[in-house]
Amino acid sequence: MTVRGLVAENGAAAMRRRSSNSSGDMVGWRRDWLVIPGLAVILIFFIAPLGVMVWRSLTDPSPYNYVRFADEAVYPRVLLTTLWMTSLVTLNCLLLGYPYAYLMHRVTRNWQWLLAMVVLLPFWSSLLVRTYAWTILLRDGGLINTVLIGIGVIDDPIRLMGNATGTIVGMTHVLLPFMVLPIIASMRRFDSDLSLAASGLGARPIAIFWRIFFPMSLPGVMAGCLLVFVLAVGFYITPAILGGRTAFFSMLIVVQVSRLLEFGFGSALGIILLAVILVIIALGSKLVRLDDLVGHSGR
Amino acid sequence: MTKNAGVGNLRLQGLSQLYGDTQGLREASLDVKAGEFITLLGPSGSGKTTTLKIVAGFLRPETGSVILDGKDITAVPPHRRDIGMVFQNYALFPHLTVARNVAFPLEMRRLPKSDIARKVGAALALVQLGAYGDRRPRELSGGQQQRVALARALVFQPSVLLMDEPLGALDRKLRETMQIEIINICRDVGHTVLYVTHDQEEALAMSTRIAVYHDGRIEQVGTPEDIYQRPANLFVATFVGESTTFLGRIEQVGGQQHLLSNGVSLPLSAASIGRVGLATGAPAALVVRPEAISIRPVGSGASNNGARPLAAVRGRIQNCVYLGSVRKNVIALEGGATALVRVAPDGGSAGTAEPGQEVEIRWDIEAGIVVSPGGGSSA
Repeated sequence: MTVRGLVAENGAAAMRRRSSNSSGDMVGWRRDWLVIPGLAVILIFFIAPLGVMVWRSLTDPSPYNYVRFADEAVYPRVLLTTLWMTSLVTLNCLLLGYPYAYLMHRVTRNWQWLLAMVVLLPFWSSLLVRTYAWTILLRDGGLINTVLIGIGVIDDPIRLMGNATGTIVGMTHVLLPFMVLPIIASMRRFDSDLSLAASGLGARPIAIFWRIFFPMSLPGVMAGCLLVFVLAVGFYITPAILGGRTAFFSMLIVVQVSRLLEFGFGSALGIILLAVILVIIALGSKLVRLDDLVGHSGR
Repeated sequence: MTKNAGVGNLRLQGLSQLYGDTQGLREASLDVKAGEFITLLGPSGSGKTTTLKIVAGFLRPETGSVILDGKDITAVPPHRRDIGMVFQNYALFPHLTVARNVAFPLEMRRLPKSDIARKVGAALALVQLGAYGDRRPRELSGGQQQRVALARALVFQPSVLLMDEPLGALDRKLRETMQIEIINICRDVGHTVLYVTHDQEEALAMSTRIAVYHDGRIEQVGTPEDIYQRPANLFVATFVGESTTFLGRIEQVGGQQHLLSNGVSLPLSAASIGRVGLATGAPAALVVRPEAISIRPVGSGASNNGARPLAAVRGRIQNCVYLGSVRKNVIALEGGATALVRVAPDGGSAGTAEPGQEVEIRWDIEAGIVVSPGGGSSA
């Protein structure tokens, strides 16, 4: 599916939702029953387990779980590290993704296709496969170190994985499409008459970009950042494989649940992570209209 | 903010644009004097907007040149041309306030802040939007956005102002108000204006001169009266204003020249033939404006009272449209032509005409416009 297809479909879906809500006739009312199976799935598989988690975090053994999180310095510290690394990943995605989206916006249709393919390809391959592929490049005896040593830039391999570098490189790669897609969607909405108008009014190309084009693409940038940040905070597989002992918050939860069998405390950590994400979304949605996440145009 | 007289002389020389995805343009030339309000009029796709884009610098003509006040600016990029443009969709910057939109061209010219504030205030006052500086464009109505676009295009005192169907998106009433407002503002400011429209009434109402486009060519340039009363060819005659058209051949009948059109013989005035210089035997077209035609039932006695020679054709009323101030009759004539006649709704016997009725239409032969049938045809 092309970027345009994806965006258009989301937009159309939003429109359909809106129109079905507004119809108060009998047909519309009967059609609304169709939502029940989907709602049931969400209730049984998403809402109910969440309820169980909240319940366990408070009762297994007691609400003390939350005090324990605050008491033991390691947990807040790992949370902060996680947020910091997530910020770096978001920044990397932005620095790579914005120029990429801009390039996609400027090239001809055929090149647009190609560039869309390149950025979407990771979407279609397994996360695990992609992450292990990075180890081939990054490990001490990996491609990058071998080449650098071979051409004499370094004598000993530099550590590219098993630390924060590995985590950030891997996560940036995985999350890049989530930055590019909202940005390209907001660029697509840009009316090219505006740049003609600006140039007619005396703006040089560089001024057109910074004064008109870039500010108007900011909704897409904000949407992309929010999306990448929220997804990154909960990442597990990539940091686990590429990050080595650099703890990511999700790894602490896994340790509690699968190794120490402390389901109550693990649940509490999960709830805390969820709360952090909700706060970020709440803050972010003040800056981003959620419509921009799906590329629905609404000027 | 009146400009010095003499700035804004624009000369377009042999502009051609035959390839690419824009509307074509063939050897278009136009001389515009400072302070003129020139309308580029034509059907869509006839090359008006292409001309405007070339003047603005958004498009490089394949051949020909654009000369502004004696300087060839064909190769000058748009941001160094000092030409203001109002777009059909206004092209206001949605993320900037109205005041910042209007300030934009001044900021690009690095004017001091105090000057910018003063000029923006003056420009907004000029278009009567002084109180709207802090609003966003989307909070304004279409007409207001239009005026912001105008203020933005005028604020840096360009030597030429271009407008691309600026009233196209507005409803009819607002369009008429805005026409007058734009004329007044442009007259006060004294800019040279190139104004694109496909609406012939707008062109007639606003312009000092009109350039009629057809198929990438400029068919005629002239004052509204020229264009309406002395069209250069059949295309101009039928595109501008309503008309009844007869196609045929000029013949000598008795002492007078007539147009022989499908068996109908219509007398022509010597002056109207002399204007186009068509000889006897040449193919020609006769165009009669609706206001020149009178209508009466067949066989209602009194014929020509002799004052001026009249032409007359019989026909049958096909359709009657009541338009308030006038009633529009569509009449199928002998020889196959269709006449359009306007009469006052209470215009005596003629006013009560009904579909199917046999009538005779007449006009003063001096009001008949003879043109060569070339230059394409159109409704």
